[in-house]
Amino acid sequence: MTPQEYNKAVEEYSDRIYRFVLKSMGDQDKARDVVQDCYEKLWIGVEEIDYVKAKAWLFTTAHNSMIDILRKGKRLVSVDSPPELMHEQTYSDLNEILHQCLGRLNESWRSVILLRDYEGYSYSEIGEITGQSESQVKINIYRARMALRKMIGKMEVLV
Amino acid sequence: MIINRQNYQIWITDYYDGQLDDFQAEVLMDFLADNPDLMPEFEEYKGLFLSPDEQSKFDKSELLRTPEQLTNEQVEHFSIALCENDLNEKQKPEIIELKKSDPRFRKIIGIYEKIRLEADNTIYPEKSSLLKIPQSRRITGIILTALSIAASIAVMTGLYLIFDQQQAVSIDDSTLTAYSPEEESGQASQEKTPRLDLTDETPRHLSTRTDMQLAGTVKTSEIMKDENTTGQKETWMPLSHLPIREEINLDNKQVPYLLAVIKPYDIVLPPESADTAQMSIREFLAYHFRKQILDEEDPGIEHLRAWEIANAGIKGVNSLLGWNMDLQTGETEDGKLKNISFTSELIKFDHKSRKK
Repeated sequence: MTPQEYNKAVEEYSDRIYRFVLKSMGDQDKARDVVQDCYEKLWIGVEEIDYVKAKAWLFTTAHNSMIDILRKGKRLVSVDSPPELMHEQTYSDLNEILHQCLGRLNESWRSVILLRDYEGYSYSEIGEITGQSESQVKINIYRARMALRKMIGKMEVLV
Repeated sequence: MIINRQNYQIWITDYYDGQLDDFQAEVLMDFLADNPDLMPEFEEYKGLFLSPDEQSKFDKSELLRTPEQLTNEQVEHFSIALCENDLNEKQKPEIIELKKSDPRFRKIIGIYEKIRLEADNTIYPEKSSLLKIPQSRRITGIILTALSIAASIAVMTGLYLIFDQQQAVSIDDSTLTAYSPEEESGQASQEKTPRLDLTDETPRHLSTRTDMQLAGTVKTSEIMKDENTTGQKETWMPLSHLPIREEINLDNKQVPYLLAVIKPYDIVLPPESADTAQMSIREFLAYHFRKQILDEEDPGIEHLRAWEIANAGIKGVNSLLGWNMDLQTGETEDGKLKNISFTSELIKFDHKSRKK
């Protein structure tokens, strides 16, 4: 990757990486640190990393950095039964509700859903980024979607 | 495999299993015809194989299921699979049909179609800090900027030294004599072109090359507005503040006419150089640039080098903006430039001087 391609990767992917990390961690400062760290590593290996693979590489690095930070902070939540949505809160639209619910999913479900819905990655690509098998990614996506539906509660209002 | 008395039993077993084709079955029959003593054994094998009991049948209807019998979890699974496009070509039309006919599928699929996350307009706020400018371009940009500033300072300094640091010199009119090349060559001309004639009384500093090189042209037509004057002429005169007089033929009478009064400039040469008075403009500028801009105690007259101009620019920027940039040079033992190092709060580099 040339310096010009590196800068192109900044322009094209930094927002996506930041959004992915921010939605996953829910912390702006940490999300900024992760993005900075990713691009520092990308710059260090700029001559070795192919531009075509830069996006996947950045997402993989961001995911790994994020996991490290969460593990250090012991914020990893392993819940099979997601908590109920707080119904006393009011939300303006469905997407806002979904993002609120997203923060209540466990990390592995949240990451795969974000990569699937935001970036449109396939199961195998998500598997490469998150280090899971393709079937495990599929299971996590199914479980995450079911959890989101359950968290939203009475769905009649949405249909 | 060729049939013989050692392997004929395998052939018989395959025959009753239906594994032999027509040709192989004919080969087996030919072998048994040639070996009639094996025929009873062939007949015995026939009774060893079981045939299915066609009477016993299972009531399949007990196992059949309808879509209504699907559990909610199963409906959710198929609904998600449809939304995720995970169904194969046979499954997909079936589930789509169920979506139309089964209210449970219609409801759940409708929900899952709606609860897909949509990316918002989150923007990374510090994107510019991630961009990298190639170091060569960064250094070149800095050097060019510094050189541009320095060049501007140098030009302004030169102009200041030449035109502003002057001392008025009163020169008696007698030091000026009219001079006309036409007259000297014998051609009749009533117009005289005055020219500064440097005599022994002329101040010494005016005899330098600098003085002469800075002579310019002034059109007298732009100065004389008297209608009585005849004709226009182009007069050479030194670009100094000296009184310029000439005689003009006015009604066949020679009238002395003060053309202009301009002040002389005074170039104060460095003492060591004034003796020889051989300093060129470039040397002169280099000397004063080092002395007055770079504050060097012992300024030489050798030609200015690029890094000296850059250094002046950096000093100017520091004093103007309060920055703390610094340009330092390293020299070899024989006094040649070895390297240039630049430091600031933002960047720092050390550049080795190219050896020629």
